[in-house]
Amino acid sequence: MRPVCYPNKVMNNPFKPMPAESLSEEIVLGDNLPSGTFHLHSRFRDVANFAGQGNDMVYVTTKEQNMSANGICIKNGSLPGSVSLTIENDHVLFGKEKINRHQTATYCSQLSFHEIHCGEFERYLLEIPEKHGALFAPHSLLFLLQPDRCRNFSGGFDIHFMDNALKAADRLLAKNTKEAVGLLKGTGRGLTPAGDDFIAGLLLGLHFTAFKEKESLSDLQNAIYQAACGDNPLVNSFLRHAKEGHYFYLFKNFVYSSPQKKKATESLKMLLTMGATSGADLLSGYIFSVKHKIGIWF
Amino acid sequence: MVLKGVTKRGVYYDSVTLMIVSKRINEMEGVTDSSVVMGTRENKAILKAAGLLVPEFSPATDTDLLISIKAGSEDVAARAVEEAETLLGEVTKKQGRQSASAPRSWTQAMEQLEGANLALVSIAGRYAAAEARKALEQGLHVMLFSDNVSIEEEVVLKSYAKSKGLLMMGPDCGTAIINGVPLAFGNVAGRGHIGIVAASGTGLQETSSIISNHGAGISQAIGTGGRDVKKEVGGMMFIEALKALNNDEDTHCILLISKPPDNEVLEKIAVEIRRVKKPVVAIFIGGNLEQVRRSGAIPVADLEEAALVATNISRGEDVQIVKEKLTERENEISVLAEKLSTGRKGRFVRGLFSGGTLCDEAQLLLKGAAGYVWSNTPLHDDYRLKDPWKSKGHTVIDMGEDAFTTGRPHPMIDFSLRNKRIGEEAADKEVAVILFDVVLGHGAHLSPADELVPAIREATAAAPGLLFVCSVTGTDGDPQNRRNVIQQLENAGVVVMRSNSAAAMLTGKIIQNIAR
Repeated sequence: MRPVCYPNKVMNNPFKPMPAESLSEEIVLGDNLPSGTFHLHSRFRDVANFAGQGNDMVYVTTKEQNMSANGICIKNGSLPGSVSLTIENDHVLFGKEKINRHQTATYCSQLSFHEIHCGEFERYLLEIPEKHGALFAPHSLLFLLQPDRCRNFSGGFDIHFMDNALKAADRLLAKNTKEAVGLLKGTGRGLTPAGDDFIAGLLLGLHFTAFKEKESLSDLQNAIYQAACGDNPLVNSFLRHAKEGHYFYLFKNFVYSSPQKKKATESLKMLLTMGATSGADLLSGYIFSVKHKIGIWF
Repeated sequence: MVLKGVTKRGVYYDSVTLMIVSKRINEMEGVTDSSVVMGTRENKAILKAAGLLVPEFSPATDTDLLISIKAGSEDVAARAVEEAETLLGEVTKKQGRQSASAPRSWTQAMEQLEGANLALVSIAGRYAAAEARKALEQGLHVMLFSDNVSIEEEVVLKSYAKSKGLLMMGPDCGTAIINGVPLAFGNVAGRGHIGIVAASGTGLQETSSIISNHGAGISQAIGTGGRDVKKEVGGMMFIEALKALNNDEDTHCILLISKPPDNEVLEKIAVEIRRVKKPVVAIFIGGNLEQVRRSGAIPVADLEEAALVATNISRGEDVQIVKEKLTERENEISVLAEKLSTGRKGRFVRGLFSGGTLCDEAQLLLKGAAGYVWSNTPLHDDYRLKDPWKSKGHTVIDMGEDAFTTGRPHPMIDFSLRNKRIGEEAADKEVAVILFDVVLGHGAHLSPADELVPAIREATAAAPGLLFVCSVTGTDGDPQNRRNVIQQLENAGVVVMRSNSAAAMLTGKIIQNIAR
């Protein structure tokens, strides 16, 4: 991999397709990369996760749509072979390869609700289970919003997973957040379990509710985050970014495309392609949070 | 009952892999229940509640994999664990191979296979157009399997391909047979002198298979993607492919397959047909036969007829023989329908299809007997099902549509949803016939009967008067072997017809007889 120097540009409009010529080798850095030395944690086909101190995680991806605040994207390149990487204020080091942070494109994970019509977005959001429920993976947590989808679950583990999630939803609606999060966290199959994706959606949803209702929900966000944190640094990091309102590419795309009917469905589909059920679980949590105005209880 | 658990330390997989492995293990004979999950504390609590927790799981952490099997015997449980480990090992090996040898650019790919002149692109829709363009720039013909490419991009790509004298098959082109090689969802058809141009994937599969099963063969079968015949695209590749087959010495007869093209597009195709010096047979499913005739092509009413007419022409035989064969088919169907109609308790048909064109053709042929039927892809928009998961009256469903395929493989690969639906339809006392297709070939499930037969047997036990009618698209050369699949289905009591049209016609007649 050769170091690539690009003028500093901020990708604040992720739904605007990059020009075809920019799809050549290019590096983009997340806007919230923690500093330190990171060691390989896990590696998939398009993503390699690196863990640092505490809950600090960064990841390297070859797919632009995987970008978020703590990601490094090598578009159309290969994942680095090195088992560690170092991030300093002005550069990122993979083995002997050095990337100058000041001359590299940055992915902006911020999202401004001032740029969208909140009422219309909320209406669109709440219609999704009814209008686009069929696009959600059958085993996603959307059954918490559409109970008839419980029919998709069979087998011992799945049935108990479903019962557990239904209990958690009841607790959430009864304002017992801590118990609800305790029931959801860590449940599901993969390395980032479905329950944690739902909690991340819940946390992101609180940002929207806080903005719309002009309330501060940061105490609740902190409480949910604390209750959800476990031993998996990958999950902890994912939840921390959700708590802090750092949006990943596919979610920003989803929000900003919502006023444009055709693009909205396209970006919804893209969000739902994340993992087997990750995108669907996260969005289910987000809709649940907004629908029930979680946090606006008194 | 035996419960066996194995912990794989520091081993992790994504949830798609774990779901697939769990499903495969659950399907093993003698396995009552199983689970393959990461070892979070919370998952262990769920395993405990599900009766799948073993003491050995206690020290496991979030990054350990837990395999839990409940089986009838120690031996079965051990085999299931072994199978799970093998399946997970295959995934690891595959990932290793992909990262070691997969070319990362068209230039690298061309270096690896000198002289290649066709690229098959199958990646996420939003990147597909850019990659297809790069392939065209390299002078490669392109088969673009990906969907979710905009129609505007399709027009640009096809115009560019046309300017370079290249074929741009797709987007959403699911099948083709080029120089005898089936691509993507393709059947192993014999080689011969019939060239096919199709804006319809399963239409191409059904006709090429019937042609092959009648001893004739395919020179080239070119898919264009379903939108090619829409006004915006103007039939660009349909026409280019027609020209290419006209110039191909090995092609003696050309078969065109599509849904009805836009009128302007049909006019353009007609102009080209008139220039072709070879016999052209055309089926525009549900389209106006007279328009086809005026264009100079031989019009046919269904896919089987299309394949038989092309077969006869390629052999230099009289087309009249086909007419006789079809009359014979109708008579046979009437006799069979009479026999099968007696003792039926319900009155409705429920069609469960994996092929979009086969679903359209079935609806069209049922229309004569039952009028418009309810569908998620109806012939008339008034008959669109609000909820594709629930049937009403006569219903025919295309299970290859988005509603059924998001988050899971296509129904030609994964039968679980269709099997579940079979059970649901069987529970409806008003249902008399379940009509379905089985599509074989590369890319499709390797043993479809093993998937379907248990569901059919279970449904038949629950609803003894229920009739199953189907057709099997494919050839004996396909990896599944058509003859074997038919045998297995017939052993389960399914009435297997020789084509999709024959199956739909038989069902229509039975429904008519019941209503009489």
